[in-house]
Amino acid sequence: MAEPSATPGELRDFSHRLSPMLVKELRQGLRSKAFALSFILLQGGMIIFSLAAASDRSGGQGSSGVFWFILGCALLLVMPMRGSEALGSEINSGTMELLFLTRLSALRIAFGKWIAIFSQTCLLVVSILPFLILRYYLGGINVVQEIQILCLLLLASGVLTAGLIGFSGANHPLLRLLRIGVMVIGGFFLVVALGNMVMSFGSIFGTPSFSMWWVVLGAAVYATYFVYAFLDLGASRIAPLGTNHSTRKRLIGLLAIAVTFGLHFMGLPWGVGFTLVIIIALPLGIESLTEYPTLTRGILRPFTETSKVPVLGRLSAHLLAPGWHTGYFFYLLLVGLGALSLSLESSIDGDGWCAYFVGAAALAFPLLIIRLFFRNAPNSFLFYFVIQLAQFLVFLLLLWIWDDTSFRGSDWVFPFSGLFPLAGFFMGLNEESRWFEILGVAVVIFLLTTVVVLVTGIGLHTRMSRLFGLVSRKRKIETGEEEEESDESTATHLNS
Amino acid sequence: MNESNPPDGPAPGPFPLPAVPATSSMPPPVPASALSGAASSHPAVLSSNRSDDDAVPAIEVRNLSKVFGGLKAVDNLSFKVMPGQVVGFVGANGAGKTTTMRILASLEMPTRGTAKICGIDVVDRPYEIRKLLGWMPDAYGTYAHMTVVEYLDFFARALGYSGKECHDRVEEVMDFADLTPIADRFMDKLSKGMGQRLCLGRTLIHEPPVLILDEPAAGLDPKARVELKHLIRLLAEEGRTIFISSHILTELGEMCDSLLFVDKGRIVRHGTAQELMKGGKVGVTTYLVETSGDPLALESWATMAPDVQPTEVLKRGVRIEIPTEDTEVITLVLKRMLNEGIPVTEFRREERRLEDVFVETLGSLEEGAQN
Repeated sequence: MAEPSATPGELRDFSHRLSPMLVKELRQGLRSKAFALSFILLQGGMIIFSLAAASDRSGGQGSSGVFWFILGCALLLVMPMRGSEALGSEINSGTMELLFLTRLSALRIAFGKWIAIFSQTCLLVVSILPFLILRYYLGGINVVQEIQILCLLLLASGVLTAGLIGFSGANHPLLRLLRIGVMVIGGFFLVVALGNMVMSFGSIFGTPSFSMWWVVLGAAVYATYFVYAFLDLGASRIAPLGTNHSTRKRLIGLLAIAVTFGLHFMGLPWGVGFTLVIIIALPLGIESLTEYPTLTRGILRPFTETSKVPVLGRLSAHLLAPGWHTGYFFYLLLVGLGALSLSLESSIDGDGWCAYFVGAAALAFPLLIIRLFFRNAPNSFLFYFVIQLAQFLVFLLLLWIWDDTSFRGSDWVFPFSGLFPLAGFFMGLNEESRWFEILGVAVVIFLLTTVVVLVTGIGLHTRMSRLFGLVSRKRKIETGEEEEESDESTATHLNS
Repeated sequence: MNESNPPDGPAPGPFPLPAVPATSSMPPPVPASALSGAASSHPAVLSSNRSDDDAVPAIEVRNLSKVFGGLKAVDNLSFKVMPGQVVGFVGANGAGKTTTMRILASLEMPTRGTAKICGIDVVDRPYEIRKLLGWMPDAYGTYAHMTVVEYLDFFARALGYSGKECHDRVEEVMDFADLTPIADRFMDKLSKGMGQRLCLGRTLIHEPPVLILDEPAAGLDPKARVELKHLIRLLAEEGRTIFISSHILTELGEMCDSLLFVDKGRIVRHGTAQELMKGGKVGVTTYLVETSGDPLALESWATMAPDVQPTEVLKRGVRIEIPTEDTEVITLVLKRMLNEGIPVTEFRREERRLEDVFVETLGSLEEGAQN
């Protein structure tokens, strides 16, 4: 590779108008073999496609599948995959901490990585536009419709890239596996949600020719949220302890749910609205349940200083401050909002409600196990998924016992599955009429989780109150309302 | 971004010392004379003629502890470093040096206790700390497909500089660390020594008054070590506070005003290199005796002889300890040696090295623990 001959003087130009993280990532990304290779392969694929399309008697329409396949691979597979090591590579090379000592926040670091990859994706899209126009000349296609699909593909690519960047901060091999699993499941939900939106938005707004643009606009709004949510997830995994990523994430999540409710009242079908609420709430809830409780004066100070009514600020901290002890109550709020969304559907029956609450209990269940038996677990996020996996294995075992002919008639197994809410959830799918048996045990589990979280988290809530006291005392000392007695009393930081 | 100084950013000019913020909560420093030497339950205050006793400490650590799982990496550590001092932080691997430095750099949360840089708490106001602090980790990270000048330019901009000011800072740092000849070289093509110089350059971009250097000389060849030592000396002459850890104690002894020996997360000794070398076995002198005969015969003679204790058998002689500084006794030992017919070719007094003091300190701690 030829070495550039830039001098410090030349570095004052255009790049200084952009974010430093974007410039760095673009410099690295555009010089990498991965980008050059994907660019060349895409162009090569498109040239072959054009030659094939030109010789095709049916014109451009016949070769549409090949065109979208090549583009889909590039946009939904190759480019997002470049984000899979984005944060991990910084951590492994020891440069992440150097970045933290600058003015760049963890979110800006993650965002810089995303925008650089997304810019390269856009560059790829721009590079294939001549081929799109060529298809138009070959005939048989609707250019406006194709541009709309291209926009949706681009948005999906952006969300997938953000997802992989978000999970790229996890270094544990199990979490890496999980990353792929979550992306597959997340991708599935994304496709379902996008499909539903395409189906439904058109009926809400205007004429059919205009409505597709509203679909694109709606998808762009939600894609923006998901890009933010994924990047903030990555940022919270890499940020040094003592930084608060929870409050903003939880508040923006609530805002996204509120927007969905708003759209529902504007005519968004229940199916789409409920799916969106669940897609927003699910990762947010899991994240809240597994958060490490970092409590410092620096983190808690904004709750009193930004609130006009300090008491309300303090109270909101018990719901929005980082940590599982507040996260559980936030999770309950999300469960409530999900239930509200469910209640908007008139055709919901008892089985549907049971399935919903058993599912909610299943998600909270690992926290109960962690708080009872693994209180010092170093990575509760990982532990959470290990317990969910264990639940699934128990479910398979129970299902095997239940299905085995030699055990036939021993229905005692069925309600026992309620002790493992996820297992109960799956078994309930097979025996819908017996949902209430499982629900009984699952509700007990739910209540037990609440009690255990309250008891084991009370110390953290007390510490928060004590730190709030220290914050207000320090403030009074700084404003001269009170004299400082001893440095020691305000010096200790509480870190659970 | 404006073209002038970044908001709340460092002042322009060649490495000026910043105005140290005053705090009313700071207790007066304990006199160094009362504390230096053996480990103390009070905070170690490391003084030098460069420091001002009334000034706010550049680094203040009080009752600092850090527990990882069940392991105490830092155990109730307390010390102060006054502005302008160069302090060495010495300890075996796993002694808690890096953890302490990471806490000071606001990259790790203490389990208990406080750490302040220029009077500002690292946990309470980490973003303010980062303006005052230059941190050089033991392993400098590289970016593929980036040149030296691009790397420095990126960090300058990430630290809030822009336009001409950014350009000037990058140029100044490249001049200082002698990076201009390799400005356009890709980072993955740099030698370890060049990389460490670049890393030091990056550390200096925002002109921090306090530098924390974690094993900066690790893995460097002798030439690169000398170059790096020269740069650190220049920085010390500019009046920066430098907190440095290294395994190469001789060099630390030359560079540092004071040294802190740390073991199992606790300070076990502290003081200037001279104080530490004078301490230890009081009144014991070490001699290197070289012989043209059998060193083992010399060792067995030394074992039997009064006032002599062999400590190490070497290829051509023996290192011995004589429990006095009285020259008459020492002359008598030499005379006895010659009278016994031992072919002595050299009899030389050895100064204690910092390494010896450090090993002795750890040894006596272990003995104390066993007793």
